[in-house]
Amino acid sequence: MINIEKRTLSNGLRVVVHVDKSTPLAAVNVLYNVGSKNENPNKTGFAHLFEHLMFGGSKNIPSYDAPLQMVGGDNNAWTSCDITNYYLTLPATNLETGFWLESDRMLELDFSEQSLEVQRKVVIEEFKQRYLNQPYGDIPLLLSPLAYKVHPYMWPTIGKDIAHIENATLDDVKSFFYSHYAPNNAVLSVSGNVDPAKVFQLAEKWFGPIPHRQLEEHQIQAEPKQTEKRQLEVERNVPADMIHKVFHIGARMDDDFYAVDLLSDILSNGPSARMNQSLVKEQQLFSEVNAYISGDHHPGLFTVTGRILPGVGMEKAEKAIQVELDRMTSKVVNDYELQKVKNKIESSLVFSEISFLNKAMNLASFELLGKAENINSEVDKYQAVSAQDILNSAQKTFTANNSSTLYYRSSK
Amino acid sequence: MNINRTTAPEFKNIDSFELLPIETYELNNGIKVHLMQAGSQEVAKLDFLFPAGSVQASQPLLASITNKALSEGTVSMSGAEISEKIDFYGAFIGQQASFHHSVVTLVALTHFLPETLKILEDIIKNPVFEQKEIDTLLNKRKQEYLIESDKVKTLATRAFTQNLYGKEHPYGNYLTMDDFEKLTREDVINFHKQAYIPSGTHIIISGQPGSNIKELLNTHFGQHWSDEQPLKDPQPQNKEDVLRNIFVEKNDALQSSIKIGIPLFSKEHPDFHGMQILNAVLGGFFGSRLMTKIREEKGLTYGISSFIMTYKFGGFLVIGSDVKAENRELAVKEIFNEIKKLRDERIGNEELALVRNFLLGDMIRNFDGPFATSDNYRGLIDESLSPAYFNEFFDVLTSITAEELQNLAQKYFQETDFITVIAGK
Repeated sequence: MINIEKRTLSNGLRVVVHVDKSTPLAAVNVLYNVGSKNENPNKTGFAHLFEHLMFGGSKNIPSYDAPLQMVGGDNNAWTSCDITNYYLTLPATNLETGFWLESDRMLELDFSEQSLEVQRKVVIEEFKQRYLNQPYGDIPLLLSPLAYKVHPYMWPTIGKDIAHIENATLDDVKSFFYSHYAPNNAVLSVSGNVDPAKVFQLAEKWFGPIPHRQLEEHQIQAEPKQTEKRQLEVERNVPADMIHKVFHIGARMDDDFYAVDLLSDILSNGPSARMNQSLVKEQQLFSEVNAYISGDHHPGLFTVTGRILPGVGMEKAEKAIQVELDRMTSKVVNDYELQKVKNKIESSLVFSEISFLNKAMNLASFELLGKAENINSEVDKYQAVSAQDILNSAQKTFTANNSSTLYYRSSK
Repeated sequence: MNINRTTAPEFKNIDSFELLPIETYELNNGIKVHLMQAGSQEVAKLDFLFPAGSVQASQPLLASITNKALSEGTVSMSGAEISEKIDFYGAFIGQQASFHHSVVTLVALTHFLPETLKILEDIIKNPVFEQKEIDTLLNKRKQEYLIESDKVKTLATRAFTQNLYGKEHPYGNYLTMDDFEKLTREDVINFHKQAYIPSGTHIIISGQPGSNIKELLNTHFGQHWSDEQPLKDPQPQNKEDVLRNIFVEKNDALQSSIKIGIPLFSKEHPDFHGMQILNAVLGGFFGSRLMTKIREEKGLTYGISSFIMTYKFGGFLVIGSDVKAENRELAVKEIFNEIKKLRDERIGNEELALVRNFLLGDMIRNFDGPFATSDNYRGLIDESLSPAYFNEFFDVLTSITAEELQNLAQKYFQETDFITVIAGK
């Protein structure tokens, strides 16, 4: 059971605190409710570019990193299609430095042409390094637009085109900041060796004066139900064929999230999972297989993927995957197998609670999606899933007209 | 309330470092146990380090395939049954071969330790190494090797270590497609027999393993089960023909991967701690000179960093970055400029304080809790060092001067000693 105390400031900032006295450190996590799904289709990759700019100095503090490093702290950030998450850890005695730094960049960034110029280049190199210059790197760029035709999940977080990043202007940056970065669009979570009363006092002191901001009202169009089987085939200079199949599923907060998650675990979580045993070990068709869900805030994707061994061929590999999916849609899992994946979930949750930083990130995310306290009912929600629920989810998910398949062929 | 946002709040310096207490004892057969008992979760991690690393193995792939194949079937259980049971207990088994040891790791909820340790005993003592399982592992490894061979970063790294250590010694990381054909089941069985033995084996326990852990370990691993003594782990030969410039061509590459480095020494060398700090100044963290200059000022790369790799015998420092081809020369020039600056000018007080404080904070993070501590401790055993190493580093870190750092730069950062490797177009 994770202890939680929380409060909302008058400007709308939600503050969540978790005390863990086993560490001498503290974590400060600021989650902004903005990701690539909030981008303009002609200015994609912006949320992520913006994450880089958040380290280029703020209104009153020219450098973000140096003052934090000076007090023994470290930090990083990541952007997804739904959120942008900034986190730092430092010795708990120096907690206030974290509040000073994070509040100043929420108050106002130092919008500088120089910083934009440099980070544009850095992000373009990141684009190349991660997506273009390594084998299989462009798969997200191919799959997202195949599965989504309307919803902004159709472009990956890095953006759909390098040109969008090259063309970003300082005005774009400013307007993005004021329409998304606001206390009323963020969650602050603090964990570690801290005193909640002191945390609330620091939050009031540093974040309290930041004005509530009018957020951009931007209606995101829902993805219409897919009604036809989709397929895409590419050939690349890579050593092995790969197959990716994706299916539309529900959103993170939908009731059947837990059943769908367990469905993916039955297929591939752990060496004894069905796909690992059947496709890798017994039939020796793949060197590696995987099944996972995206867990996105809006309706997301169920991915089934595998790297195919030489001489097998795409068609045979796909058929073998299909057999496993058909097993899931035609027969309920037995009690033993269901208990196994539930046990695995339970121990994974215990392991994830070892890190105070993990807890801060998870708490912020749960608070954004509903309430932080929900973190403590996760195990029960997984335990409540029945074999019939999993069968229902499989039947709903694994239909041909709900699938998009990418054949990634090796030209070697 | 009026607050001053332009001045940093007051802060405290880190002035002490305390390593979690490490209890050591021996099992009945002499296996050394190192226990770090702490943490608020009922979870334990056990690392078994056998003298079965790639240096002891007589040929490439032997150590890693033997290590991975352990859990693919025993005299009493098939590989499928083993993974079925481990998964049912919600536990994880990790397997990894390093240079001087091979590691088998068990992570489990404390109350499942009796069941899971019994399975682990079987895996370690009675594997059958079926040909089919070895083939599956080799096929997977071969595909991974080919995929890795498509990355400029990997090509540059391999060229760098081969240049330093040659093709014969495992430190050189030299592997060919032929090696995949040469490895036989016989080799694996023999290596297991000679290297997965009580003598020279360590068990590192972290977390809350329960009060009966010693008895449990003695039951499963404390008997005499082999007379073998550890295989030799030879030092690499001194290589005469180290090249200063290497270019590995890859025509379809969008970026070039740069590795610039110098041979150094193992952690036992008296200058090692100082070099760690000098490395941090140069490229060892986000606020380092290389990151500031090459990424944050010039935007030439997504990332640049330097690190010191050490082995039981020797070590090196290497700077790595991926840049677009037309910026390659510029990036190399800027890197050597930063190296020269460290030789020519003393580091300012503010910068030294920043690096010192950041590294102190990093130490606290790296030793936060039993699991982080055991990960760091494990590295020491591979290099036959005692935990006093960490306290010595702390002492050097809190006391080193700008003058000492400049002396180190002049001693070790001579331009003619550097090796430059480029992979790409």
